[in-house]
Order: sequence, then structure tokens, then C-alpha cells
Amino acid sequence: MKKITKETYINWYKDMLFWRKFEDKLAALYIQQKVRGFLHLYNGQEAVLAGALHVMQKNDKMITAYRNHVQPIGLGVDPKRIMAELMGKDTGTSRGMGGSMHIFSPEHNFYGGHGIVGGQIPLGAGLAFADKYFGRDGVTLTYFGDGAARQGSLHETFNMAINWKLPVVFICENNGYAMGTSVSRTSNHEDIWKLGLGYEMPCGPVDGMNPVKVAEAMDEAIKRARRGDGPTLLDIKTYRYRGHSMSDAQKYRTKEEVDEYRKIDPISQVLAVIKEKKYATDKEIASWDQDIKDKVEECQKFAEESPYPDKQLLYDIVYEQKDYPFLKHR
Amino acid sequence: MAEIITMPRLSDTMTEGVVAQWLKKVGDKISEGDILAEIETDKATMEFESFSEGMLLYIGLKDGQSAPVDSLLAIIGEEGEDIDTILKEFKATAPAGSKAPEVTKTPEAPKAPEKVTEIAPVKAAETVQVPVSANTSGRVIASPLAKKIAEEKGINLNTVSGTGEGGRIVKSDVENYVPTTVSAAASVSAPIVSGTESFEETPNSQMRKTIARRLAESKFTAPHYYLMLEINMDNAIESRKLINELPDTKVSFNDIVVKASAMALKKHPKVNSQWFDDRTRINHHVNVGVAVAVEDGLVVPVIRFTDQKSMTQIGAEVKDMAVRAKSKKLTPAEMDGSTFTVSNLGMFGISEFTSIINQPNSAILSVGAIIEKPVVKNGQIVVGNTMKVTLACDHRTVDGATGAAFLQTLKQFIENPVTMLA
Repeated sequence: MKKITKETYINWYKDMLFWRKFEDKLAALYIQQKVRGFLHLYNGQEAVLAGALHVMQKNDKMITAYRNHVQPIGLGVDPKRIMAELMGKDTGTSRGMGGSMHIFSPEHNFYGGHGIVGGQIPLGAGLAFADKYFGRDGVTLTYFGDGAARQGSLHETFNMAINWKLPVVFICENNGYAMGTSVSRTSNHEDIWKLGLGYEMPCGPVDGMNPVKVAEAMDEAIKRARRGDGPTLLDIKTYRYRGHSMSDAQKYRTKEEVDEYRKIDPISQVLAVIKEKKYATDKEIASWDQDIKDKVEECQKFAEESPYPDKQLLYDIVYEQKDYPFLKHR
Repeated sequence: MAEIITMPRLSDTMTEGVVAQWLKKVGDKISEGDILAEIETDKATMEFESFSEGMLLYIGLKDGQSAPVDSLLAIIGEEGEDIDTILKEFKATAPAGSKAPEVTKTPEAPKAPEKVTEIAPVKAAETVQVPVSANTSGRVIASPLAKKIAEEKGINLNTVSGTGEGGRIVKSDVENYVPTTVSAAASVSAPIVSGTESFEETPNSQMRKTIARRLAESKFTAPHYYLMLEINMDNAIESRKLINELPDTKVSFNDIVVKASAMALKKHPKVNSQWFDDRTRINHHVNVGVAVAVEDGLVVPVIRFTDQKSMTQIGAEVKDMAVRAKSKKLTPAEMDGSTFTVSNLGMFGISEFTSIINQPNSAILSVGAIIEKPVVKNGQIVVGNTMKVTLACDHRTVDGATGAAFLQTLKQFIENPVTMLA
């Protein structure tokens, strides 16, 4: 694993804060009806992504569910284009045709963006299978939530992935709630990582509020996959501060609970290290904060000023099948 | 630069929102993430957080007011900023509260076809035709051709007399129709009262929905029966007078009833109970809920450990909670956990009534007005004061004799308040 240095901490801070402010901005745009449809935000879970990015290599891939706006940013997609996608603009990653749940950028090794709960689990294993089959060097990080962990598709995928030793890491981003239902209400125990035991798949829990812990666990899992020893299941315990989606009134948890998790917020944790080790002055930190704010504003400006796509495009880029029945209305 | 805050779209199906409650007032400092207000959407009452920083300069919608998404809700800016121009600008750019989707360089003009349907002439003709009526039977018998010509010419067929078979209106009748015959036709038949039927509909508030759901649930699941009793109030009136002569003391009859109910419940714990499918819970504590009418509904704040409180304490608590209930300031916890409920309509002069049990309670007491009336005392008709109470019981937990015994104790306590001290 690359050493975790001063620069790592500074980058983590800047990245995670940018992701959070980016998501906050989306929430603000959503209530003004500039972002339509659904909107699931990542606030609080940033360390899961930050830790993974630290140990990923050039050919490694990522696939996740519908809480998917900041992962592609982390992988190098221009955030302006993601903001534009959410506003349905022509300059978006899918020319405005995908929207919030379907960010996609294979050129940056990001394979979506999936709305079907648990649907991406077999797809992730499929990506890994392709890499193994064609002898390419790459590990696929397959993310899913604690709700999706209870889908049958997970078990079928686990069985094949471990049997064929696919280069995949299964990552349960366990934020404690499947929409509004707590893990404890839906299962006999709260340790989702134990699902790996039945397949003799290496597995374990990870502190998801600390990027260092995530990076360490992820490094081990990715190395295992890369050397041909197959998949790992990581149960990353994290938390989201905002509702499941924008229409969630959050009656299933208390404010006190949210406040408890804010005390171990990943961004605050990283900032505390930066301050303690004197990696940066308060003045420098304030200037980063301002830069991040400006960067988010830029994204908004870009997206708002971009045109909507031509309606005709609906026929041209949505369906791959040339004679798909819908296309005759072209 | 001041920022305009509009009615947020807090769910993907929300088109209109109600300000349930402002949590900030004009002049308050606002930081990012502060909860500005609670907004009632089509789904739930949600907290609305601020994405701006500054001072709350203006509030466009008061508590309880509703407006479509994107209407002006508030302005946040710096102290002393001129908001009048901002308001003017907002009104100019967003007429009628609903901002049109941003005008961008889309080649087509999607608005145009909609406009055409708006001014469809057929509709106008229809509405003209309906109201005036001179035909008594209401049904018009006419040939299709006559109907078509009448529609084209804008003639009301009710005013045309037919020459066809059985008075059927035919083409020539319509063609020869002279409007002046209207008055002639009208004078022959009985005058028709023409009014407009109209109504208005308001979306159900969360409170109304809750009331509807909970009361229906109670009435459908709990087999209700009712016990009525008339209570002599002479001594209670005297006692209250004496109590209220104490300095800084004010006790109402309702406070006496609440206290007496709590003490009677202590003696008849079966009434202080809750039904579950497989068991019955007898509560050891007595928490009396007091129904309070509020605008567009009612709430039931709960007096905890009522039996251990003095009438003065009960009175003060009821008063405080009733005031806060009216301004929607009661917390859900304050309305939760009752074991029995008292509902009093005496102040409206209602002599007796029945209530629906406020579940999870097993019974509810309906209290009528104190009425001065002739009563028989020692074989003599004299002027007395009585109050009628009705106990609605859930037969699954409270049998007739149990409820009756409770009422008997209650009567004894109220008729002689001093016995509550024993």
C-alpha cells in the first residue's frame, strides 16, 4: 500500500469536503426543482470512497448502486459533467438521459449507477470475470448497501465468485438503514460480513468512518484478488446523515443518533489529524474551503448554462438494438 | 446579496407545501444546515434546512399557509438589505407563484399546442348552454340534426317548443325559433329556481388524516358501549368556590372531574387498561388525557401521574398544554401515553354526549354541562344543579358492571369532593 502521508491527508480532506459540498448543492438544487426525479446523497459515507481510491490501481473498476454521484468524481470524471447529468443537460455524462441514479463512465472505469437494488452485485462479478477471462489485470470493487445484502442475487454471485476465484471485492456500505428500516429489525444479527463465512470467503467488518482503516482493509482485499486468490467481503460500517432519498422524513431515527455519528465524521477526523500534525495552517485550510466552495459554484454555473439535449436524441442513444419497437416512432 | 428561498420540493411527488411551523423568525441569524421551518408535504412533515447563510429578512408564508412549490417562502441576506426591490423582481419574474421552467435555447416551442387546447371553443358553447332553463321536465327530446343546429346557433333547446311527435324538437322548430318566446314559455310553466351548486375542497392535513385513521380504527376494533349517569353538583360548586377563594388558586370543574377520574381509576384498575390480542394490560400508573379542540382538529395532551397531582397542578398543566396545543407547540411525547381520556363539551352547553375511545385507552368519559333544574330531594322538588357524564367502554376489557362501579366511585368523589382526601 502507498504510504499514507501528509499529502494523502490533505487530499482526503479536500476530496471528501468537495464531495460533501457537491452533494449539499444537489440537495439545494433538488428542492428548487432543478434536479428532478430521485436523489440519494452520500453525506457521511465519504471515507469509504476515499480509503478505496488510495489503494486502487489504474485498471481497477468500480460499480455501485444509486448513491453514486461522488464515486465517478473520485475516479476522475469532471464534476461539472455530473452536475449537468443530474440537471438533465446535454453536457452530462450520459447527455442528460441517465440522471441521478445512472452516472456511468467506462472510460474512467466507473460502471454505474444502478437503480435495481442488488442488481449490480452479479454485474460486478461479471466485470471481474471478463478481466480474468481475457487475462487483464484489474480488480472490480462492487459496492452495495445493507439492504441489498439481503437479496438472493448476492448468494448466487458469491458462490460463483469464490468458486472461480474472480478478482472482485464485495463491499457492503453498511449505513445501518435499508431505506428506513434498520439492519437490526431485518436480520438475526447485525454482522453482514458473516454472510461470507458460508462460502469460506475472506470477510470482516471495517470502520467506515476512518479512511485509513478503509484503505488498509481494501488494500488487503485488492491484493488478494489481484494475485488470483479470489473475492473478499468487507462489511464497512458507515452512516449517512441525510435521508435515504430527498423525500425521507427520517422518523425512524433520532437526531441524537445522527449527532453521535457527526462526532466521528470522516472529514472532521481527517481535519483533526491535519491540525494536530500541523500539516497546514488555519489560513491554508480556510483557503481550501473557499476553493471548494468556488469549485461547486462553477459546477452549478456550468450545468445551469448548458442546454437541454435535443429530444430526438432519445431515439438515438438510449437503445442499442437497432429495431427496438419504440424506435419506429422516431 | 440576499437570497430568495422558495417553497422547496421535498419529495418527488410534491406540488404544494404547507408551512407547518417556522423554527426561525425574521431577524434570526441563519447558518448553513439550520432548520428553517417544518414543511408539510404530500407525504410527511419534513424539516427544511437552510442552504444559505445570513439573516432571515422576510417570511412570505405564515405558519399554516400553503403554496405551490417555487413560491416565495423567505429571504435570507445581510442585515439592513433592501428587500423591497427583491420582492418586486421576484414578482415580476415569477407571476402567480409558479415559475415557468427556465427558458433555454430549446428549438421547439412546446408551449404552443397547450395554449390551443385552452381556448377550445366547444367548451365555451357547452357552458353557455347549460344554465338557463325553461323546460320543466329537464329532459330535452330533439332530433340529432336539431341539436346540432341549436348548438351551432347557440340556442338553448329547453326554450324551444317542439312540433314533432310527442313534442319532439325537429329541424324546423330550431330554424323558426324566435328568442322572445322565452318569457312566454317561462310565464306558462312554474318559475324555476336557478342556483349554482358549488363546493370547495381542501386537502386533508396530517392532523385530519390522523384523526380519521385513529378514530375509525378505534370504532371498528373496540366494541363500544355506553353508561350514563347524572351527578349532583351542588357540593362540587360549593367546594370549588371555597377552593378558589384561596389566594392564587383557580380550579375549574373540569379539573375536579379529571382529578376524580384519576382517583376512581386507581380504585378500579380494570378501567385503566389496554387490550392486546393475546393479553390485557392493567396500567399501574394513571395518565389522564384531556381532549383539546384546536383549529381544524383536536389533540389530547396527557397529564402524567394524574392521581398524584393536586387539582391546582392539574389545572395549571391543562391550561399550559391547551395554549400550546392551539399554537401547535406540543411535542409528540406530550400527547403520548394516556391511559384514560376525559372529553368535556360542557362549555358549549351540551348536556350529554358520547365519545369514541381514544386508543390505546379502554374508556373515555364524556362530560356535559352543569344544568340548573328541578330535582327531587327528600320527596320535595327543589332547584338543583346536575351534570351528566357518559362513559364509553371497550367491552373487551371493561364489562358493564366494572364500568358501572367506576362511575359510582366517580359520582361519589364529585358529589362530595372532600371524600377524595380520604
